[in-house]
Amino acid sequence: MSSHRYIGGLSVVEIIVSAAIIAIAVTGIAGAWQLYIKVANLGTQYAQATMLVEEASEALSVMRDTNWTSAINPLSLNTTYYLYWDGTTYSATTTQQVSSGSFVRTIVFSTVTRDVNFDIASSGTVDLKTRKVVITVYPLGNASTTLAQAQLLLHNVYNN
Amino acid sequence: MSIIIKNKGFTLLETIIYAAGLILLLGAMLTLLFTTYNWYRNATIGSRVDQVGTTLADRIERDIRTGQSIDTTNTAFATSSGTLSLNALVNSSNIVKRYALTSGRISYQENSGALQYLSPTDITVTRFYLKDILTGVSEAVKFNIDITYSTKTGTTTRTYSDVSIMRNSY
Repeated sequence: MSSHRYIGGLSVVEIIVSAAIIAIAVTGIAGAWQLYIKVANLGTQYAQATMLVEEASEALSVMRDTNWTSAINPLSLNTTYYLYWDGTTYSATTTQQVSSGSFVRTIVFSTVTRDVNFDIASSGTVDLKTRKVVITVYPLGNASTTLAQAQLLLHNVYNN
Repeated sequence: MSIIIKNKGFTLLETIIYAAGLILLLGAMLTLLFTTYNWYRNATIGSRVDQVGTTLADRIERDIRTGQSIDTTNTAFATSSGTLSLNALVNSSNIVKRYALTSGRISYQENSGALQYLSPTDITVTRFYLKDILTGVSEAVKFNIDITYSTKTGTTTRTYSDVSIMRNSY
């Protein structure tokens, strides 16, 4: 009995195909990794935006406590404002302010109306001592993407 | 019985092509890995700094809310290395809460208890700026926390600011 055994190496085509498969796999893994990082960063971005909303809410309370007549009452209704810190106190300005390097925070005041029972209603008498405030945070240069938003009522509780 | 084994090796040309292909493949993979690693490091360090900054600001903001008054003797406002000593009221108990910038980290001390570090060792806080706001009916504290970190593209400083009214100061 005679036996012939051929021991052959890999052909160039086989090597190229193998390399291509490995390259595709590595590229796919790297892409998935990058996507994971982007999603994780997005979570942090939302957390920062939420914190900016909270800060604005507190700052508005500071403005109310300081002087409703001069700090809140003169602000135009349904107009976009930005929170401004001058090193001593807060104020609202119509000049865009960038927060934490990459966020824009807007504040819009509107009226609150009350019914005969003094409950807030969609129509009725305008309550001059209360403002509805909408605080919105979006990424700089992308106003259509809202990262965080809050609505609150600001009332002149200290009648100042 | 006779066995004939034919060992067919690579030709010189095949070996050269194989070696060149292998080098190119390894080069491409290493470049990809290196680029991805750098990108990953840059992406994650920023995110990590954001997490630390946001968590610190949130913690301090919540604690300021419990404040009744400021212990002015042990508080340093309007300085890069600020210290905040709060007389807080928690569940009808008076507690002194003290925040400071200690060796590049934000530290916290309650009454005369042990010093606790709130920021990790590998994140450097370069500025802890505090400012009090007196409204006439309440007192608030505004603060900024600067965290500086380095990557291959340079040094970056991110600021995390917040303000909080001491609820027991009304």
